Amino acid sequence: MSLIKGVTLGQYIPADSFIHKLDPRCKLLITVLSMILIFISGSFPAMAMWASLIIFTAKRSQIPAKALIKSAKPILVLIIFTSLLNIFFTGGSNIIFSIGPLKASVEGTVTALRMGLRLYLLVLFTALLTFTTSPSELSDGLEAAFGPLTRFGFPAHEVAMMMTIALRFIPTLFEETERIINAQVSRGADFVSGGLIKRAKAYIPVLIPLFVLVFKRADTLASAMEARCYRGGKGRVRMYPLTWGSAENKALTAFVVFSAAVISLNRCM
Amino acid sequence: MSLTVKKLSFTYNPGLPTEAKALQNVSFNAEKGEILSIVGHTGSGKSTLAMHLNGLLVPQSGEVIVDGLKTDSEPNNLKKIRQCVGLVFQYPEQQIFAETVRDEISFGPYNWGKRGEALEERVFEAMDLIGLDNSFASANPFLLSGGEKRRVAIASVLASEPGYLVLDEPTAGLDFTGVCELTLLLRSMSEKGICVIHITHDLELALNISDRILIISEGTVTAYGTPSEISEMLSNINVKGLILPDILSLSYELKKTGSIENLTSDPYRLAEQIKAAKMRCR
Repeated sequence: MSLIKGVTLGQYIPADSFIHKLDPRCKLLITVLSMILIFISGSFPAMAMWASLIIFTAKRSQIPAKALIKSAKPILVLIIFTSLLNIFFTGGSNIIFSIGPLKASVEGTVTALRMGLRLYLLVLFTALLTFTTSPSELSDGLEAAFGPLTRFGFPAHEVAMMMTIALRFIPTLFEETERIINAQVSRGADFVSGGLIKRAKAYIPVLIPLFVLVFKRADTLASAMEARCYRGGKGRVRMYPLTWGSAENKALTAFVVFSAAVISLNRCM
Repeated sequence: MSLTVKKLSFTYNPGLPTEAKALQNVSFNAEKGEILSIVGHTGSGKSTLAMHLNGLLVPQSGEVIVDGLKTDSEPNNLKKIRQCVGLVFQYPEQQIFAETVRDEISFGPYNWGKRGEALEERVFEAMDLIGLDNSFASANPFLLSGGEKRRVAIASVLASEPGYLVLDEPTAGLDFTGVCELTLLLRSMSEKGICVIHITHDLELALNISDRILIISEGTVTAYGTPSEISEMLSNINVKGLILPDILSLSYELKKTGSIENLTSDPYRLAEQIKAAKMRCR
């Protein structure tokens, strides 16, 4: 059914590359650093450098350009909206054109382009992380990252486990929703005609069976976990322990050197 | 008046790395009043085919024609087609949403414009057909047993009075009694002039209840004919993922040794032939 098609979530693309093999903690760290750095180095040459880093990483990790462009699609509306706001509300003396009280200035356009590009690069960078890191690795990495907070009573393991389970069930639930929609459409349900309230009501026959299924699944999963003696994070060992080796050191060093170059370029401009 | 599938092909995610050919050049036709079984292993394309029959999926090439109407994207056609082709999905009890059995069963006919007494009539007719007595009408469907829930779900499709009834693995998860009751129901449907299209992986069941059988493997039709023709064909070809019923294998062996003349998957007919052969020997 076309109703829920085209949603890419949990968009891991498996491949055998240097970047795929990196420790998830290393990739998380680099992503967080790059988010901060992209925000503080906002000149156009600096952003060109960031873009080239993204393209290079995508090439090295065999991520098709199509997938990368598609990943930023849902956020594009937001980017265009903020850009429009920037164009009209930044103010400035060099007016290009005006619609009523709205004045588009040169300064506003430059700010809009800068903000738009920035947001776009941010989305692409995080997309690279989810493309090259499987959901389970990602939650392992997050658990390790939140590890220090357990001292203050933060349930790092539990949060990571919840994330893993949620991510794991997204595709399954999509499939089930699709099946229920198909079944109700076969019985004459109509999701496309009528006003807003009528259309919202039309989804009741989809939502109720879906909730029933979700609760059933949760029950089964909980029993299965208890049957395997799951008792939370205490004393739990890993099948694939996270290892920080020379590859991670190299990647992090390369990233730091690259960012230093970008920052100094940004300063000079 | 029949349901015709002509050279139907369908590929999931065309052009992407996850591309998967689900159906290739599938053709068959189903008449009112017969039981047609579509038999295939998991992933053979059976369910994709089922979704084409009432226009949930539109053919990428080839066509599906129901009572002269093509399942193209014309919304008016689709509405008519969905009304006359009832589709019972696998585990149909998972689609139940209403508070009472009556509301659940009236969902279909209500959507097709039935109101008041006509609606009520449809509901009780469908319940009667499926063997649920009137006391169930005000029951909460979520509190029923598994078998009863499935019957409610099938009744909710029957209530729209479809001319064609497509069932995707209707016996999955049912116990022996449940399977027997269901096959009896399918028989009585076809005797009422409804065309029953029964999708299954159980060849033995298909051989015993169908008028015609279509065997599908990896998206293509490998055999199509009456149960006896199919029994004949399967002695020569090997269909991937299809397990022959023991009784059919036995009758192949007996025919090879010349003990019986006709292949069969019916234990009683096999026994009769063996008895006759024994008499000849004396």
